Amino acid sequence: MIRHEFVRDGVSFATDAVVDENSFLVSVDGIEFRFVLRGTGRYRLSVDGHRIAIAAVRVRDRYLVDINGHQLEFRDPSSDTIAAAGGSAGAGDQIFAPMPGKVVKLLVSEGDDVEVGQPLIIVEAMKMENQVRAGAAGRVASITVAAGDQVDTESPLIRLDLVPESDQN
Amino acid sequence: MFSTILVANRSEIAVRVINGCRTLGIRSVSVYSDADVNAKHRHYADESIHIGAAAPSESYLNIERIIAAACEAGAQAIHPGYGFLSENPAFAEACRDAGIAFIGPSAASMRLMGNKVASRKAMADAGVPLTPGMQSASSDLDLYRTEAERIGYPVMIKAAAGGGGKGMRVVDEPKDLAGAVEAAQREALNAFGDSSVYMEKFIARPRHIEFQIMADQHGNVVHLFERECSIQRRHQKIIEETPSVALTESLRAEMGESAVAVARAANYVNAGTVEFLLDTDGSYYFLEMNTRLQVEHPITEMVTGIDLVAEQIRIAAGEELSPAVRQAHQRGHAIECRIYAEDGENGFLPATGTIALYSEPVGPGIRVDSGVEAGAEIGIDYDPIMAKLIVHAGSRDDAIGKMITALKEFHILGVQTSRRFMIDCLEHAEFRAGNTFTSFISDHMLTRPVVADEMIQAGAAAASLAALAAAHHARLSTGEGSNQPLTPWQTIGAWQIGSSISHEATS
Repeated sequence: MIRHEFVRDGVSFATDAVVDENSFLVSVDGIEFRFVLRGTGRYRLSVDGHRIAIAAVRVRDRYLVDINGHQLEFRDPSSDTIAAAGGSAGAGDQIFAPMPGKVVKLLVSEGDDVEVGQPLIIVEAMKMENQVRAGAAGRVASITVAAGDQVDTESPLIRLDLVPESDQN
Repeated sequence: MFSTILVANRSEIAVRVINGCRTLGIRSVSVYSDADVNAKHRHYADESIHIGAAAPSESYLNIERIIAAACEAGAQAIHPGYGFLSENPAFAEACRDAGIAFIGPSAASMRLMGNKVASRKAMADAGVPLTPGMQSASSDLDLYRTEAERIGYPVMIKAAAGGGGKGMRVVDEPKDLAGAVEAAQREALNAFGDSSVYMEKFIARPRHIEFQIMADQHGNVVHLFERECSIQRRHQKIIEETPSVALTESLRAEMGESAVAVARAANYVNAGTVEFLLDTDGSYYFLEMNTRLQVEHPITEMVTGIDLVAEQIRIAAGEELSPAVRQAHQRGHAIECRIYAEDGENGFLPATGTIALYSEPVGPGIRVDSGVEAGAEIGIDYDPIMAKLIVHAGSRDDAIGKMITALKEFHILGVQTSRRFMIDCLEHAEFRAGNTFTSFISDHMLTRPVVADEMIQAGAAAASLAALAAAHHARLSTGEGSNQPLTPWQTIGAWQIGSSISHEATS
């Protein structure tokens, strides 16, 4: 039996795999899944009396799984890149660019109070304008880009001073 | 007939056109930029010519270099695909001046239809029904305010040179009008190099119905029935089907006649598409005519059995419409899902990355038009479409079921797609019932079914297999493992993670 541990969206999974000549039996939290190999990274999985086609590959420290049209990403919990994954676009006090592109327009200025969901900045990628919105209410503390700047995924755009929870009601 | 055709495009549509050339026994020549040195379309053609840097203006939009490539390759005709130069009248003229046939309409037809304001006027004169709105482009905000009051909110701001959802804005209330006009002007300027916009009434619950037109150089014009493309996100189609459940035989005939009238009024030759909005009461309005092969043309091919690209080539070579086109009828039901590099779980943001695993579904009535392979890098230089999945079945219900299965068996890892989003659309009761309006996504898809815990646990189990596979191949490469017990990798064969042999081509 071979044990692995994975993390997805802050949830941990421990898997125990048994490998024989023709198939894999993997248990996760007491539930067993049986797979057969069908090609490079491709498997058939038995669930509810059906065999479904799935795919799974490791890309550096990421484990990518394609199952019923879902593209799930797991990470190795020992990997150091997890700490950096906390800043998804607009979720916290630091707003990051969600994709590579060009800053078209700033919709707020430093010192402005913003509400949850308020558009802050317009980034153009692939000729489409995309609004980056505030993930929480707060005050614009600093803006690190200007109109015309090229930005990359996860480039810092704006930092907010968040409104404390107790002030929001 | 031509013996060599240059395909002035990239990715899936270049591959599709090359297939059409092969059907007719014509040699194909592809062009490629620095970003596409390893692209599928480059190596798929019989010959390929490098035309410049990644920026479209240096390569796929560069008329001079494409004409030079066509001359170098001895091509007698150029197929422009869709996007890029396909609706650029200057390109059609440059082809003519170089003595090369342009597989498409005349520059004059393109010029008329490329200007949404001029084309509306011409179509009104031809008796084609139009949506109420401004008669010409304007940047006068006061005019927008008074016109919006006259035709009533909601209104839509559109780019005069537009298409593809760029430079479009819906405005529900007067206070948002000025901001929307500015944003639409900016987008229009960036996308088309022309900031002109205009405004028309926004129909609240429309369907998007379009008719495929085929016209030869001898005055014959026919339509090849409708496509319904109501499932759109940000005014960009993602799921298309034919026939539309909303058309009766008499409405189909009436709209088809209008579409033919549009083509005749534009002196149209070759393949084109006339787009209409269909209101719930059965009234319909001319939107625009796309003067090129459409992204979603395969569903028309599936239900009519006609190879539209081959027909385009025959028309450009001066042949009359074939009997198959003149006597076409609809058989069964076809659906297309567009596989974009975009995050369907996160507001359809453009996605980038390297395709780590790519495996296409196969089976009766399943077609994949694809421009990518395992190992392809998806950047932000070009349109994010990677592939189109098309299914054909005897009935709409069967086509939906087949499409859901095919989407689940279309495996792409390393670049986000909207496959699960489209499965959720197709499984929705309102889609099944045929209640497909252009507001479908905002009406029904803002909340999505949660991913079942067991699906995520199965995913974690699969992740452990990826870890085992990686460890197995690491052992192989260091020469260890000869005394290990037999595993499925040894039993089944020497599949190597990261190789591109998992690509099952179906073109």
